[in-house]
Amino acid sequence: MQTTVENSAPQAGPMLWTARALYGLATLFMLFDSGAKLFVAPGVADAFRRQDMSLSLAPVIATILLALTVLYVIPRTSVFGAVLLTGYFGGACACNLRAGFGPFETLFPVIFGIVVWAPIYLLNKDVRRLIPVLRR
Amino acid sequence: MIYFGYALSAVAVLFFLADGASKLLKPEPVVKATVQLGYAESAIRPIGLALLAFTVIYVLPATSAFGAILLTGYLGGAVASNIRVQATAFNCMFPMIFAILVWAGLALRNPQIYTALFHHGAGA
Repeated sequence: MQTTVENSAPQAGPMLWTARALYGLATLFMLFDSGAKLFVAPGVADAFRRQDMSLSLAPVIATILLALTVLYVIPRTSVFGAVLLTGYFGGACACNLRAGFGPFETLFPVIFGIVVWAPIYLLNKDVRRLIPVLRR
Repeated sequence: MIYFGYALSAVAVLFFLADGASKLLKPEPVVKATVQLGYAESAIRPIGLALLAFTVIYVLPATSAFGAILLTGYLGGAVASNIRVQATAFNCMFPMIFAILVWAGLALRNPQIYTALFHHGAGA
């Protein structure tokens, strides 16, 4: 069995580093976000109120995000983690849309979903083959 | 197994087509259910259009994996909407069951999906 890196790493250096940077950025943001929700950091209560979301759900949502982030970070489960995170961000997008937030806030989870998938797409040739964006 | 995959995908697709069409036609029960979840009535048609578009992308063989990702986001939105109003466990889980149909149907038809999902990940 080939190793993960042999199987999936892009040949080009800048592409590899872009992918790693996005992977790290996405992971750090999600760890930070789940930590903020877990400890109800300033701003979290306000955001939940604006979404008309019960604050008692904050630790549950934080734990889900943390678990999904862990799956995303483990190489073997990173693609599955990205799929589950897509559901999570779909939820965030729907909550913002429902609450009548502006276009930027509503689309932010979608943009973040792209940031989550981009490194997976760049680093995993199986995913590249299945998602025909920029197909050569 | 391939036919089983088609069957699972077909169940999901038929449901999405019916659900998407009902959001475009807006019969009274659909409006009531959506407004009860706290959505503006004006949001129903765009939501229906998004569901139909994602379903078409899922049905087209060349883009079915991308369609599955988009449908996952859509269904995640449905789960969150139900959790927000603290709906019954069944209502909260219902969209997840469809996400499983979407992905299992695809993976049974196309083993590359299973490989991509579980065999090796990002490797960064």
